[in-house]
Amino acid sequence: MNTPAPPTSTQETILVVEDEVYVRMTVAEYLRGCGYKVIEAASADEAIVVLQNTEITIDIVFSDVDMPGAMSGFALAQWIRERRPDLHVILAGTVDRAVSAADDLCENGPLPKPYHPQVVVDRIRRLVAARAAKRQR
Amino acid sequence: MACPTSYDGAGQVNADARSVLVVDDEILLRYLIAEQFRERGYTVLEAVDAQEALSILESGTVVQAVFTDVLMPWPIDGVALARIIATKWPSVPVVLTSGTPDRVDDRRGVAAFFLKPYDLQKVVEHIGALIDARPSCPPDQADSVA
Repeated sequence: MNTPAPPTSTQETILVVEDEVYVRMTVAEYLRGCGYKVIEAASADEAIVVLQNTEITIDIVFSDVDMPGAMSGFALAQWIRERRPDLHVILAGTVDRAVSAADDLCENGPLPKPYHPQVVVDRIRRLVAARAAKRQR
Repeated sequence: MACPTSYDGAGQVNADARSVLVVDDEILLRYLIAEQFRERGYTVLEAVDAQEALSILESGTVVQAVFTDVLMPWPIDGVALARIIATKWPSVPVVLTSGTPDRVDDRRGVAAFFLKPYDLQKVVEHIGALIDARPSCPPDQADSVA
């Protein structure tokens, strides 16, 4: 199996760690729109698999706080501090904070923001509400 | 048959994008294949299991093909996921992959099977061909935005 090539030029890679798929996919898409390379992890365990792979370069870890499984976002941040102190870690416990943090990253991104961050918040809320409504039927 | 329209993360129409949903609970495999598609200009959605895959499909984010592992966390494996997609989204081809040879009796919704370890390029080419084989849709038959 092919191993991934290292990122070209100065494109930074963000590891997004988020168990809620609607948040993960919309935030990841927003960050890609700003020019970042994004790797999506659905849990801290997945994030650690990526971080332990020496062929993958990660510059920033962007993680939810509350996640199912043995390790929360705080524990993941602690794990990273002990083993990869070079990594910039961002923790965000709510949708608004996650999008705000993503927007901050996009301020410094290689490309202009693809759309207003409120669009991301609105889309997440709409998707989550639609799913909840379906489940109640 | 419904004419799919691709949307970007903001829910805006992106008529030229090809989109694929990759479903695999092994993150490195998921990442590698997803990147292969992205390097070719695809929009890629990623799901860690069938539940997430169905959430993505139900969100209205258009998916033109699905590439899924067979062995995934209970209760829905890749074969069952293919059956569900064949029923609810019949225009979406599903390509399966597994580390064990194909012993799938029920091939409903299964367009192809790749044994692991697979050649990334061949998978991407095959799925691209499946997407290209879908009938094209005139612009006035676009779905509504999710």
